[in-house]
Amino acid sequence: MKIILNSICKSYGGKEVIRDLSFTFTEDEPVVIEGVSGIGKTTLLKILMGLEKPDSGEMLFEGVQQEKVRFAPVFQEIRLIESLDAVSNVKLAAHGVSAERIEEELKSLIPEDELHKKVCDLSGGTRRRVEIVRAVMSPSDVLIMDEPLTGLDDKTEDKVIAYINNNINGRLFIASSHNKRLCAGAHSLVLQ
Amino acid sequence: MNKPAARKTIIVLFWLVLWQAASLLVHNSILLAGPYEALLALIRLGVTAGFWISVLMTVLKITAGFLTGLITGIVCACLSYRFRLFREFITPPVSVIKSIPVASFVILVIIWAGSSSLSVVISALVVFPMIYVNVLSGLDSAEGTLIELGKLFRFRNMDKARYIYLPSVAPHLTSAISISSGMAFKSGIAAEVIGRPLQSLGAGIYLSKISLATDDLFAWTFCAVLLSFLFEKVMSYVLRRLILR
Repeated sequence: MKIILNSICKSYGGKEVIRDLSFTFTEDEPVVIEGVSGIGKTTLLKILMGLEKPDSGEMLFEGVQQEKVRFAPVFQEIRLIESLDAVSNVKLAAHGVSAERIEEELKSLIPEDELHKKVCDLSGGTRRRVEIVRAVMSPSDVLIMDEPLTGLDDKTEDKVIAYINNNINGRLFIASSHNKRLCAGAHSLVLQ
Repeated sequence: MNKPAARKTIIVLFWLVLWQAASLLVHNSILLAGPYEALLALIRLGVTAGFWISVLMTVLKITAGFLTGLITGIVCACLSYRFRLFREFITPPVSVIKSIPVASFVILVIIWAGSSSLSVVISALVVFPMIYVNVLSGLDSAEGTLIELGKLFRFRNMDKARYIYLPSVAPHLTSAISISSGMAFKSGIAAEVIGRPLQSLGAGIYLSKISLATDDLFAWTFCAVLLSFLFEKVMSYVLRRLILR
């Protein structure tokens, strides 16, 4: 499967955020988008997921119908169902996966005693890790992670990086991050 | 008795004493029957089967109307949220229903369908626009970020409804139910007074009017107020249980 961008442009209120961007994303090569804050990394990820429309240019999907592509995102800001615990949040996205299996997976990133706490009572870093497990466990074709390491300390960052790298499972992986270690062997797409 | 309850009791007693004093001053039970006379009338009516049948029929009909308005309001709001064309299509009739006086509807329903199901139709017509407008407003205010989340992760429809839409609809719906349940009773009974269907609370009020029995009027009115209060409490309780489940 490939996602091909041809001359994508996007502006907000007259300010050009993405200018004439052409790039091809493939399953074989994970991509980490780099660039200074406000350069359009999040906008590009939103365009890829269909949450924003480019002003001009085209986005083509090769090997799969665009409507059938399943995205599993980690958004820049935390998006969880606050009234539910970590396991239930993951279960909403991991269709058909048992609660036991989800608990096992979550335990690799968050302490066991936090699995059944409401996510609104968890720290920012733990909430971020719940989101990462949710994206990884969701049946999907494309993993999209917008600054997934935000709010994590160095030790946890290493664990999360290893977890992500071990669980891409042949999916197309696109992330934005300031940390070059996020994905081993990833291609860097530098926005300027 | 705790302090707020004692204060409330004293306030109620004050108004009852004032009412009794006013009726003694007027000294004409047709113009103003006192609370004691109203209580006696209530006891007199309460021992007859006809009274309870009238109350039961009114409650059943208004409940049926209320539930009809509630369900159609929710369904139409969901359809309007989902389909732009449906929203545009239904906006004029909703505005018309909201602005036409209840009395005009009462006359129309009597002409078209007779008076037996009058309070059902009128209650439904009063409840429907309130529920529709409030539920739609709740749906419109659902968090866009969570909607995107549900869409991308392909949440099941039940999960979307429960975790994304219900939290924003619930406050709108509870306040709409609280207001419209009272309105359903008021308008339903007003319709019965005009249409006078057999065995109804409204017909009892009408009868007390033509026989100039103010004490009976107060007794029937007390029943209407009490039923409206209980109905609102029951509906709010049921809704809270459903939402918090």
